Amino acid sequence: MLMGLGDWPTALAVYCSVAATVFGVIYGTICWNRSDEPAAAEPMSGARRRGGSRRRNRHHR
Amino acid sequence: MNTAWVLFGAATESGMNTLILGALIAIYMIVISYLGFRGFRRTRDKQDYLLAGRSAHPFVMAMSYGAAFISTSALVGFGGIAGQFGMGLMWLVFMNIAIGIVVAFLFFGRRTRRMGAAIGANTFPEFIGKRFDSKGLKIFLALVIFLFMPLYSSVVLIGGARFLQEVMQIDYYWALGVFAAVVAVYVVFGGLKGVMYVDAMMGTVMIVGMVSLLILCYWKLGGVVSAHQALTDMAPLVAERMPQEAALGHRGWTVMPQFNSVWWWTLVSSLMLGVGIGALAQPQLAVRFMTVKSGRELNRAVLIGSVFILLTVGSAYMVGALSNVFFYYTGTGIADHIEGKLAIEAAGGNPDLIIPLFIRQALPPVILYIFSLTLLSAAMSTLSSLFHVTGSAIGHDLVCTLSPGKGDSTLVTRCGVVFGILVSVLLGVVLPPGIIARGTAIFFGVCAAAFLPSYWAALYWRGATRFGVWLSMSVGVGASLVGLLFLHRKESAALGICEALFGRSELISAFPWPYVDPFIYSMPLSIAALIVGSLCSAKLSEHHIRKCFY
Repeated sequence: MLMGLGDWPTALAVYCSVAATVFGVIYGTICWNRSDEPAAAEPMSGARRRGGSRRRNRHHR
Repeated sequence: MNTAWVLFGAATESGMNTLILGALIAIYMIVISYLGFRGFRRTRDKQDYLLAGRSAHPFVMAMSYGAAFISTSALVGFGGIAGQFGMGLMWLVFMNIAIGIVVAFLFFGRRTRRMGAAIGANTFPEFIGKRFDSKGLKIFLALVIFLFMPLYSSVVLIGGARFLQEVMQIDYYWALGVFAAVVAVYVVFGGLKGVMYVDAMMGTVMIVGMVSLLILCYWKLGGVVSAHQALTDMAPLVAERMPQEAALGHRGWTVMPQFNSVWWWTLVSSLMLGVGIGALAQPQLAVRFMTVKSGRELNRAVLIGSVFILLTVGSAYMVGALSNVFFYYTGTGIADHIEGKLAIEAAGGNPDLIIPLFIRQALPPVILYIFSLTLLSAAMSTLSSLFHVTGSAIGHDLVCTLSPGKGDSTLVTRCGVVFGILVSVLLGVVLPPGIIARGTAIFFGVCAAAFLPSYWAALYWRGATRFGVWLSMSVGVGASLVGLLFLHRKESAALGICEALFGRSELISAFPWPYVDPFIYSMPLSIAALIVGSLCSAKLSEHHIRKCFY
């Protein structure tokens, strides 16, 4: 377990370095496409969207 | 005698054609010029020049961050320290990955990017200044960068120039001029885009060089466990051959130093905490968080950055410590060819020579080519980042703030970069190396204590006030300077101010104070000042806070 190293704290430093890297790799892979932007507004139902669109069109005319 | 001398000596002894090395470096410079030109072509406005258009690719951003983070001294200097004191230094690798990459990207990077875009900040001083609605803070931070950063730049510049001098066989001042000019061209014209493109290429070279070194080292020493075991078995030699180091707490190369000894305090307070945590507050690194489009790029960069640090710094420290096995059982010293030496003995007492000497003695000549480019990459990538952040502090943060609306701000920033480079070159020629090295230590100490609490508060504490930040920075700078000038023996003895005023090298001689890094006490004092100052002063307007945190 010590891989030939003389004491646990030193071996732990090596293990922790590798573990931190593995964490970085796993985190980066899992969150590869995850953004921190605020979530987009909840989509409205089709009927309401169409209605809204008609109202906007009337307004523009 | 320096690193380049050892490598160049190896080149001539091994029959390597130094013309090939010179040609390789020339090709390397051409590639750099091309990437710098690419950056120039894609730089259209101030945001492109200062923040790479806030649209850097995650690979480019992560490699650039890593290459700017890891300088020649991290690979050769700290690798040599590992050769002297052993693998306890692997804790610094852990801190570099866990704090310098994971915590930096996820807890500092995301908010810095979002808030920086919301308030329209283009530089680190501007970020803090706009967050706390204070031009004074912006100017103060820019002044600190302008006053101290060129000292650090000049150290890196001198190292690179010495290397070119030996390898290309040219005059030192020509080497200094050529090295500064090459970096200057792609920083001045290419802006941060040019710098990051070149950094990404250099980071890749650094990974290839250091991984080759580690693999060949284990191969040469008979495998991972055999190499470690051989080094562990050499522990009794410490007391026998290095009595002074043994008295400082050194117990072997694969065990931690004696608890509460001089070396234990140096390892834990200066290296693990000072260097490991201090990296969070480096302006040239923090500005890179604002170069990406979204948090998604930062998530991807965590993967690339953590692998980069493990492969480069981890390899250097492992190889440094394991070189003892090679020198003791099979290797020879620099000139006298005496077998059975420890690494530090073989290097003539200079830890900076341990890694180059090991490469010269132990590895095939082709590694010299790769390692030469690795060292050049490490020096140039750090230097270009320092030049860029110094120049933007002078041009964008100082001149444009003090004389608003006068001329093209990108042109002013470019002039600032040129001015910063000239100051660094001048310091490299004029100042003695000892003063410069101490100046660098002071810069890092001041940066960590002065910037980190305020940077954290800018991102996470809505109640932090302008007065609190001023107080925190003042206390941080003051406590760091007092510690470095009057308490921490390494700096106080070298600078001599304490000796001149009080007739002794440090004010408190009782152990462990002369060995405790000033960061350990200046940082808590700076945090306390921030909290007290913020609680006792008027808050920033709710509208401003909402704008920052949206």
